[in-house]
Parts: sequence; C-alpha cells; structure tokens
Amino acid sequence: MNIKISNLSFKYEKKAKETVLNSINLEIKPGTINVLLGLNGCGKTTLIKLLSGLMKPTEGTIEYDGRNLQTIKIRERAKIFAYVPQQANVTNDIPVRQYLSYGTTNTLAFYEHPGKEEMERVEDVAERLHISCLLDKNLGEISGGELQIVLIACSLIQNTEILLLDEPTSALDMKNQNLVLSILKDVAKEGKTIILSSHNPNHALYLDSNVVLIHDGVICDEGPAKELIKVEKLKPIYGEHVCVSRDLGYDEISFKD
Amino acid sequence: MNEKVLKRRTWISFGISIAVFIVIFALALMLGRYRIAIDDFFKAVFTDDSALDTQRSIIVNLRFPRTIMAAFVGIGLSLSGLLYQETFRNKLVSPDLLGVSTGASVGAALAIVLGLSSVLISVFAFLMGLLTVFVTVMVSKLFRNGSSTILLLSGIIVGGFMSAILSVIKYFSNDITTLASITYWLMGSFESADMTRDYILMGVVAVCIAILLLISHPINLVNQGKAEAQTKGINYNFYRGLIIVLATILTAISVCFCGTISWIGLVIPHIVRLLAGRDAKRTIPLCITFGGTFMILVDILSRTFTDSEIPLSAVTGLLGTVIFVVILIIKRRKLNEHKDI
Amino acid sequence: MSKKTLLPFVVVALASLGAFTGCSNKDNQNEQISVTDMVGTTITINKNPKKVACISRTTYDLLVAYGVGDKIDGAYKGTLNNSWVPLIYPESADHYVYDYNNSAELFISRGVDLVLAPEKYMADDLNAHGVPALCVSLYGNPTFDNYVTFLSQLVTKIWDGDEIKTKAAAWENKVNTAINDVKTELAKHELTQKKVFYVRGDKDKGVGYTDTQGSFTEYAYRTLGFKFVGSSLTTTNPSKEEIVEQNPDVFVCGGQYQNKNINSLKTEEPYINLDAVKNNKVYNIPIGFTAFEQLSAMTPIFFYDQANKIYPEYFNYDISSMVKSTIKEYFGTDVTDTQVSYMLQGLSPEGGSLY
Repeated sequence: MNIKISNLSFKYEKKAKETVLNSINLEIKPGTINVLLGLNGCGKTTLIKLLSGLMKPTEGTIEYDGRNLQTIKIRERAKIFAYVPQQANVTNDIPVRQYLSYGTTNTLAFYEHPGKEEMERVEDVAERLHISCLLDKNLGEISGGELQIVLIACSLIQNTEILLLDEPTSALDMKNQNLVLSILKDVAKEGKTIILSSHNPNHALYLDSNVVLIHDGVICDEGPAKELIKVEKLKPIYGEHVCVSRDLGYDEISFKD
Repeated sequence: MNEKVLKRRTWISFGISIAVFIVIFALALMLGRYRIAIDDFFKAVFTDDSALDTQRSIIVNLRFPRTIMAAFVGIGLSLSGLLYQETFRNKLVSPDLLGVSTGASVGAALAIVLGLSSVLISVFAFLMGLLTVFVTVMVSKLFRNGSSTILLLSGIIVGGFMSAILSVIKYFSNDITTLASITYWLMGSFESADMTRDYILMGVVAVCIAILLLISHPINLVNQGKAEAQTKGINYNFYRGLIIVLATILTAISVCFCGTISWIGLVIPHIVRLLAGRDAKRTIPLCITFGGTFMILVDILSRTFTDSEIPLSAVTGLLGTVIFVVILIIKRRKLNEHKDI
Repeated sequence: MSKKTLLPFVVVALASLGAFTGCSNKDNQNEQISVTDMVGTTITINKNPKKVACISRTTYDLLVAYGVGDKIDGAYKGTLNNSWVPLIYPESADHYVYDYNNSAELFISRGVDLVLAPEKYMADDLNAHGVPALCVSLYGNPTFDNYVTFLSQLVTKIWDGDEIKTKAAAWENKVNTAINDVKTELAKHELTQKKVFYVRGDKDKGVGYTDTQGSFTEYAYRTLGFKFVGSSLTTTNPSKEEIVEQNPDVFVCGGQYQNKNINSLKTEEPYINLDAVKNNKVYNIPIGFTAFEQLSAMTPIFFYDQANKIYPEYFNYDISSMVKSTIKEYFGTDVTDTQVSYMLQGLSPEGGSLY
C-alpha cells in the first residue's frame, strides 16, 4: 500500500511564524527504501514523527491506502508503522528480551501478555540479527550500537509493512553502520517499505534507495539515489565544498557488499 | 537477568509472602496490648464460652477489623506507589505525589471544623483527595506541555498550596474541640477501623486490583514513555490517565480511613522490583502480598509495645528508611558486579 | 546611608529609649515582691497586679472566688467557653478570651502585668520578653501532694487585703477538712486497693484520654484510696487494648465530654465487657464554673461527691446544698435546685450537653 503526503505543513504552535514543514507533497511506493537527506533542523525528524502519528499535521494530510492517518486508531497504526526513534528513551533496568516482547503488543488484546508464540517470534528475530546473546542482559548493560540493533529488532518484531527510522546510524561506528544498513537492505527485499532519515548521502547510494532531499521544510528534489546524489545537486544544500572522493586525491573509506 | 530466574524468584517470593501474610495476620489477632493466652485465644475464637467475652470482643471488634484495614491500606499504598513510580519513571516518587494526601487532609480538617460525623470526614477526605489531583492535572495543562515532569511540578505546587490551607485551618480551629481531632486524624491510625469501613476499603481495592491486573501489559508500555507506547500500539494518554486515576483512588481511600502513612509506598515497590524485575505482571501481585504483610507488621509494632499507639508513620518511617538503605547497598553491590564484567 | 547620616537617628533613638525607660521607672514606684512559681522559677513582680491573664486552666476560678476577678484581664478560652461561667459570674463577659499560645506582644499591648501560664516553657519565654509570668499548673513533681494549696498561698502573697486572706484561709481549711473527713472514714474500713481510670474529657479525645503521674487527679484518687491507672502509663492517650488490659475497677469521667464518654463506655465494644462497666462502676465528675476535678472553689465538694458515689455505703453528704452555698459564698450567685442537679450530672445550665 502506498503512502500519499499531500500539502503537509507543520508548525509547533498554530500562531508560530516558523514553519518546520511547508506544503510537502510526496508519494512513497510500497517495497521501496526512502532516505530523507538534509541538514540538521531541515524537518526530517518532524516528517518521520508525523508519519508515526506521534505529532499531528498543522495542515494537509497523510494518507495510507487512501485512508487519512488521523482516522486510523493507535493500535491499528502500530500494525502498519513501526518507528525507531533517534534517541531511544527506554528504561535501563529491563532485560532485552522483555523490551523486545513489547514489539508484539500490536497483536495482543489489552489484557494479554506476550505468550509462548510471541516469545518465539522475539527469539527468531534476535537470532536473525545476531543478538541472541543479548537477550538476558539489561538494556542499560549493552553498548550504543547493540541498543540500536535491539531497537530495530523490536520494530521488526512488530511485523509491520512500513518501517520508520530516524537517523538509525548516527551514533554508530563503521562496523555497526554497515550492520544496520545491511539489515535494512535485507528487510527491504522482503517487500517492506522503509523510510529513514540520514546525514550521510553515501548511505543512500549504498542502499540504492529513493532519495528525498529536504531543505528548510520543503522538498527540493526527489528521485533514485544514483541520479540524485551528484555534487551539483547537493551543493545548494550542503554548501560549496561538497565533492566526490575522486576529486580529493585520496580514497575515501566506505563499505560495500 | 534471565527471565526464567526472575519468574522462579517471583513464584517463590509470592508463595513465601502468602505464607508469611497468613502467619502475620494470625499473629496480629493474637498479639496486642491486652495479653491473651494462646489456649484462651483459640477458645475465644472457636467456642461461645462467655467467660472469654472480653477476649472475643478484643479479637473480633478491635483486632480483626484493624488488621483487615491495615492489610488493604498496605496493599493500596504499595500499589499506588508502584503505579506512580512506573508511570512517572521516577523511583523516588511516593503515592502522595500529586497532592492526594495533603488534599485528603484538608478535606478531613474541613469536615472536622464543620463538626461532621466520622463517616462524612472520610467522605470529605476522599473527595478532596481526588479533587486535589484533578486540580493538579488542570494546573499542569496550563503549561501546555504534556510531560510527566510538568505534572510532578504541578503536584508539588498544588500540594504546597493544600498544606498551606491545612495550616490555616489548623490555626483558626478551636484547640480544645477541633484542633485535637485534626491533629489526631493527621497522625494516622487504624483505631477507627470497623467492618463497614473495611467492606468499603476491600471493595474499592479489589476493583482497582482487578483492573490493574488486566492492564498490567499496558502499564509496562506506559513506563517506556509516550513515543514507545504509542508506536507499539498502546493509547498512552488513555492508559496513563487510567493509571493515575486508579493510583489516586487507592491512595485516597487509604488516607481517608487512616490518615497519611509515609514510606510504605516508596519502599515496597523497590523491594518487589529488586526481586522480580520491572514487569507489572509480576510486581503487582508481589506488591499486594508484600504491602499487606508489611502494613500488618507495622500495625502490630505500633500497638503492642506501648500503652498508647505509636503513630503509624513513625513506625513505617523507622522501618522504611532502614530497609531503603539496605536496598541501596544491595543495588550498589549489583552495580559493582557489572562493572567487573 | 553613611555612618555620619545614620548617627543622628541613633542618637534620637537612644534618647527616646531613655525617655521611655524613665517613664516606666516613674510608674514602677509600686511595691515589688519576689515570688517562686510551681516549677521553682523565682521572679520579681509588682504587688497587686491589675491585669492578670489566666492562661492556666486552674487559676481563673480561685482568683474570682477570692474576689480579685476585677484584676483579671482575660482567661484561656477553654475556661471561658463554658455556659456555667456567665451564669455564675456575669462579669466574665468583660474578660478577654485568650488562646493557649499567645504572643508576648499581645500581652504587652493589652497591658497585662502578670501571666499565670500552664507550662514552664511558656512562662520562661514570656519572662524573657519582659512579660512577668508564673507557671501554675495541675501537675506537681513528683506528685501533687505539696501543691494543693500552692495557688491559694500565691494569691495571698501577690495581693494585699484581708478579704483575700480570710477567704484563702477558709478555703484551705475546707479542703484540708474534706480530705481528712474522707481519709478518716476510709481508714476505718479494710479496703482492698482498687484501680480507678480517670477519663479526662476536656477535649473530644474519647475514653483513651487521661492524666498521668503528678496530676491533681492522681493525688485526689490516691487520697480516696485508689490506685490511679494513669500513673503507670507513659502517655495521656492509652489505646483501647491498654485500657482493657488495665481492667480498672472504676471509671470516673470528667470534662464537658463526660456524658459522651460514659455513653461510649456503656455501649461500645470492647468496653462493655469490662468489669467496671458490667458492675456499673462508671461515675461522672460534676462540672460547674470549672470542672470539679480541677483546683477550684469546689475542690472540697469534689472529694465529698466522689466519696459519695464510689462508697455509698460509707458516705452520704448533701452535695446539692454544699454546691448552692459554696456558689453563693464565693461568687455571690444564687443557683436553682434544677441547675445544681444539671451541674452534678455534667450538663449545661439548661440541661443540654456542654459540647
């Protein structure tokens, strides 16, 4: 099912002068990876939060499968969208297994606890992301990179069609960045729609994704990464000094499959 | 910590605490300032021997109602402490956080000044406790910021206002007639316990427990904060509201019958979490057995060794602070263990 | 402000202070007297004080009875808030109603020249702030035995006048006679020492509110041949279980809440099972201008009344006529037989409750 964003604007307060997002129109096709690129404060995180339903648009609509997102109930929304925040605000003193089990909430009635079946799902996903060894540790005891993977695992456990990730690689070292991105690549192959924000244009290239360039609350360009991530297209946003590694006279370190 | 270990520990703690609860409950009926020999106790309870009328009256009319009240007040305050701590993600929060206790005190003081009956004093205290929390929530809305910190801050503001009102009422009340009663009420005691009050208390606490057990999974998610809860499929605002309402009712119903009792709502949830981890499906049942047992123990201590009753908060304070230090030491040791890894 | 500009103000302030002290020195040409209060504090006060504040509940009655009512500025509201007071002594309407804790400023602003305070800390605090205060209470250390006539003697020391001295002597004589009468009669009989529990009832605190060691009531009931339960207690608020554990042989209930407490004893668990209640040994203590169990003009009658009630087989005094004549003698007021009977039942002059 596709997502259609039409004429979307957002302000923190109705009377505020500053618009965070200004009349955005965007269509996201199912089964694609979409990277939102742009400067700090350009509105990437806001757009993701609006998609997750945590904030409400000031104007305009987000439609999923022709239905306005605002009319979809919280529980049902959690069956469609999974959200991984930029900074997880989780409690430190619960085991990873317990936290991951919260991902199964959207399949439970309000009085139900995750049962055997749900816990098996947790273990399957943990095994797939190679974090089975973390299951009995507390959230406060694992590293930042491990935590990021746990959060992604939790969103996968939700088993939704759409994954929203807010800068999932920003706090990670090279190895973990690679790990996270390859997980996302794998997931996309299963036909899930992924929307993530990033600061690193190379990640969009690596993911071979669709790119949405956002600047000052408006979408300035959109298209496949290979066409869009070009010096001349990025200069208006990232500044005059943007270049590609062949202009540097040295090899930039990156990663590939 | 391994889930299985926690689960086993929870079952063991639950079993032991139920056994201890039963023993303590029986002891509460046997012990007291009035000494009853063991065989007299059984004779008084199980026979109609009129020679033991006094003993029977003490057991049936004094000790039984107050022990029931102690148990349920202990349960109510421990649970509401747990709920507030989980909802506000602040382990140092206690049940009177949003001004329930001070509000209830103002209600009771007002009713005493107006010369109302003891039933109406409880009703006033209960309603005023709820009203105060309502005002707290309204004040927090003024800040147009849904964060829990703002709610806590409003609780402090409104609580402070209510305690100021209480001081003013106390100042203007007659020290022979009303002030003595207000002071006595505020000290907290189970002396007024009777079966009518017990039935009301038991009913309210039982309903709250039933709802809490049903929503224990949403309680866990609310603990993770709005973003987590909402995107996992839990209506955060609704459940947070429901939890606050239940916690407030539990505190108000306890306070309105026996005055303000401190520390128990802080200490019991800590002990329980230390044993069973942070999962409401385990912590709620343990809070019930631990809280009930602890409060009965406190009541026995408060009434058995001195010729007048030691105020409950004095006993809970003495026990509670010591237990709290022990908890902190255990926790520190745990942290150090992790550092070694 | 610099030091130079400040100087004139300081000079003026000091000068005016000097002027004030000068004034008061001129006033103080009264005769002064050194007196020691019940807790052993000795202070110097003016003789024949004109504005006395009776905060201690035991003092108002005797001062009025000895004829120095016009030297009283006011009294504790617990004392004045009693419907017998205006009936027996209408001039009480002119007396200021004091709280239990009053500021020194209030006394100074009202020109009070002596405070009779119920507690040592209160008297010390007032003296430290220049308000002469004496501690006079219903508690002696270790017992009240040596303090029964303390207030009476203090009054005759502070005020000059033959009438006061005569009245005081007569009162002391009557008290001693009453105590001797009761003691002599009781000595004739072999009594096993029984336990009495005094329910104070001057505040709405229920049955579990009594007096402890050192109180006047302890002395009085010891004199009447009892073991006073309160003297073995550590607090004035024993729990229900403690009272049942003590299982007193007799209950005596005083204060304006006496009838409420008597009703509690006779109708509420667990009291109804007590021997004293079953044997109907629950007695009240009359309350008139003052509760009879506080030192007052009625003190001799208090002994006779309680002796009558507790030992009807040995004593049969005519309490009603004693009350009538005593009120006439000390307060100059005639009370009717009905009023006296209400008084003896702990009721108000109209026969209603006192609270």
